[in-house]
Amino acid sequence: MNDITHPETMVQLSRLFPNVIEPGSIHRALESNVQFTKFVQDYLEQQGHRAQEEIARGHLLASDLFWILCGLQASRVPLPEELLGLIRERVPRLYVQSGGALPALGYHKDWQNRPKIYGTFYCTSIAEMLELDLPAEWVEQTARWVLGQQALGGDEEGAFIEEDAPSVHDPRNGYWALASLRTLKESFGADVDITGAHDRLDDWVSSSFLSDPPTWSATKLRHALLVKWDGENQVQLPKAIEREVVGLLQSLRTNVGYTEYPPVVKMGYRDDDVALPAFLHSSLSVEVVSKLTGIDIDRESISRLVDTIRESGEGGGIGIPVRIKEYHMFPVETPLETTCAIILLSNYS
Amino acid sequence: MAWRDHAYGFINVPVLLEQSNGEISIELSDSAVIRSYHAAYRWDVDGRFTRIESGNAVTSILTEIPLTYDVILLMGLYAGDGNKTGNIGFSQREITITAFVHRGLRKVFGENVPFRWNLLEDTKRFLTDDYREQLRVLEEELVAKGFEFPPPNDVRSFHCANRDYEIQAREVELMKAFIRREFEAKAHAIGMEVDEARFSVTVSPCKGALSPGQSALEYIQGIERSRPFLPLWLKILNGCVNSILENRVREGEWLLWREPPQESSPWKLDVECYINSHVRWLTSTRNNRYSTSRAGDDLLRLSKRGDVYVEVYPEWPISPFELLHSGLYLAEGGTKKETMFELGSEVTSGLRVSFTSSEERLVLNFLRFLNRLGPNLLRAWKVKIGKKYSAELDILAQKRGVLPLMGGEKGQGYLRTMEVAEDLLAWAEKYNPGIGGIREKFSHVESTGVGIPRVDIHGVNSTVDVALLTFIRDLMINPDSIEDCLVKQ
Repeated sequence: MNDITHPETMVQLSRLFPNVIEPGSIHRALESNVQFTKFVQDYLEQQGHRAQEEIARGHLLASDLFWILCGLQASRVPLPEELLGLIRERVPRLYVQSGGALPALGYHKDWQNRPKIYGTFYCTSIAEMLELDLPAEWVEQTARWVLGQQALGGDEEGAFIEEDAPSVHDPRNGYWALASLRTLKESFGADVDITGAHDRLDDWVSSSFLSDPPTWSATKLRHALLVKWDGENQVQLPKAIEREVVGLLQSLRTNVGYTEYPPVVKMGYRDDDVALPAFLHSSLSVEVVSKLTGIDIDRESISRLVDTIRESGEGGGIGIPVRIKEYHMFPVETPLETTCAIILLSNYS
Repeated sequence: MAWRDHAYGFINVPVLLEQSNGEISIELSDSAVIRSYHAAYRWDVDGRFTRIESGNAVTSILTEIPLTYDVILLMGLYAGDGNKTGNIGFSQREITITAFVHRGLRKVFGENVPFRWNLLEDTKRFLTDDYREQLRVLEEELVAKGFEFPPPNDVRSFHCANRDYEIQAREVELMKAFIRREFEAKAHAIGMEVDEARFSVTVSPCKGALSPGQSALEYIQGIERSRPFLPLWLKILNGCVNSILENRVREGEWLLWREPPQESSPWKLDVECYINSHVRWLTSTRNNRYSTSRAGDDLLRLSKRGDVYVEVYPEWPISPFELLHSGLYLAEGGTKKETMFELGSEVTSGLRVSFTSSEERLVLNFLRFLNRLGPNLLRAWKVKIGKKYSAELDILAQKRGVLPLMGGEKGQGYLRTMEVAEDLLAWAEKYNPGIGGIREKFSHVESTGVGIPRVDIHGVNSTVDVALLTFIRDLMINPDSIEDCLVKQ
């Protein structure tokens, strides 16, 4: 068994959800919520087995795998040796020789076989988490490839942009690119100076993303703030932006948890008035935004959401469905949301 | 008897009303919304027509509706683009289809039934130099005729997509005059009479055009004061559609087909005759025809160029099933309707066969429709999800820790995030279990338009496109060409 359950290894989650991950409290929360713990452990183990079977069949989604590993780690389920062996063997197939990584194996269209920023983030994160060896040449090529995805000029200068989606300018891509570069540099010795890239991205976040509140959502804002966070001090936002953030957080609040997009995003172009429900990952993003900015949020609301998940124990995993009219969309329960549930539980126990 | 006069079956309206004691109730699923309808009627058979009352409203309808080719096409068209709320009516931007439905509704409800027309257009269509110039010329002409425009300080306000718009009332009136004149010219060209007194035009920046010059034109026709009779009409429509899709010879005692409607094809189309005699397409340099050759007794090869060919059956049935789907395709098919009506007479481009619906049975039956014309015509299908659900799409991606990567210029279009594509494939299979058999032909997810998530049959063999689209079109506007090549069974 590979010991990814040791508290000190929860590095990747701590970076994604800074100031809310405290391994000790996670473990205490799990110990005092036996039914919940058994439930999420069973689900994540089952996801691990499913991933193992999928990988053995040549099918691998790096993001899913990363979140399964994070979930196993957070819920203290040891990683089976067989799965670890498969990961060691198959994950390197995601590396693209000219730099970057695919988000998935087993797909055949051209665009599916081009590296993606998020694929690179998940690959490098998995490699770091499991202490896999990365080929030195690929590490250098990938660092250069990631840097090459940053716009150097134009209206979106500083944003990291995927070749296949040139009009998508999103702080999540920026964060994943920067995090990949940091991992490549700090854990795998890439010879790369990321200061300039970081500064340009930071400028883009301020001048483009943060200046356009109608495009915000809880998760996007968390990633934007992760870019701006220095790792220690609270992020200082201009007063006008801070007021907008306060307004966003208020508009995301429901009686039971926080949702992802404010109602105005729907009301602006929709004839239906069905509000989006609260989501676990959105509530956790709001918690991070609050921790990084010092802006108050309604923790009673999140606490009520946590109460509803504490008693979970039927079905599989934890997740709040997205509905479009009468359709229940997929996915419902995911390793990401289940992991978010564990983290929330530890903060609200 | 000629095919075009053949009634595949009959609908007896008084029998329907008698069987339900004049109380019509019906539930329909449309765009994932279930709507309930209920109405009570009194009726009086008056020869060919039956007079029907609901409260103070009165209408008339054919006592016995013969299910001839044009009525079945009308049913397909109405099932697609017909009004399901409000008055009995129909919305389309293509004038030939509009006129066909107009004739069909007058055939069913009587020549003198009063129609009201409303023409809708997006103001963005006029934001190009060319249109501005056309509006300027029109303005001069109208002013010369004494038309009085609102003063420059009269401004109309609009609010949509979270934005406020203000447009000079003078410009709005000019745009309306332009649309009206355009419609009248088109209607006149195909011999459709429109009562000018029952005519209105609406222009607004909120009609859905995305960029300057783009049109969101709609011609909406409705039978005046027919709202109380919509449940009856939808009951008739639904009975007709359901019996065809389920291949039932009767619906109660009020709808009777001569034979099971999917098997009822007293004539079949000799495809080789039809293709060689009537199917053409123009390119900038020449008039093109298919070359045809037999592949044994069972298949006919059609080729547009070189050795690229598609195999189809040498005879195509023309049953209520084909007619219904042709009507549905003319309403909801993915081919630009103007292009279908230009085929063979003008240079056309961007031709493609595609069909999308939020109803599984319509998707599956469209596939059956294709399969009855030739083997292996389907190449690919995708899931479409309206851009207005981009918040939901983003959240679905977030649940996997990824983001929706769309290739379009405005964050729309082909989704290049396989995690989300996999999830939407799973969704499509759950809500459309019948598509399991074509899972391997799933292509991708596309964020476009405004609709709810739905399966889109978008990849139909491109060699068959001209033949198939000409056939569908000719069933409606050129039945003579069909008659030319019918083989009596």
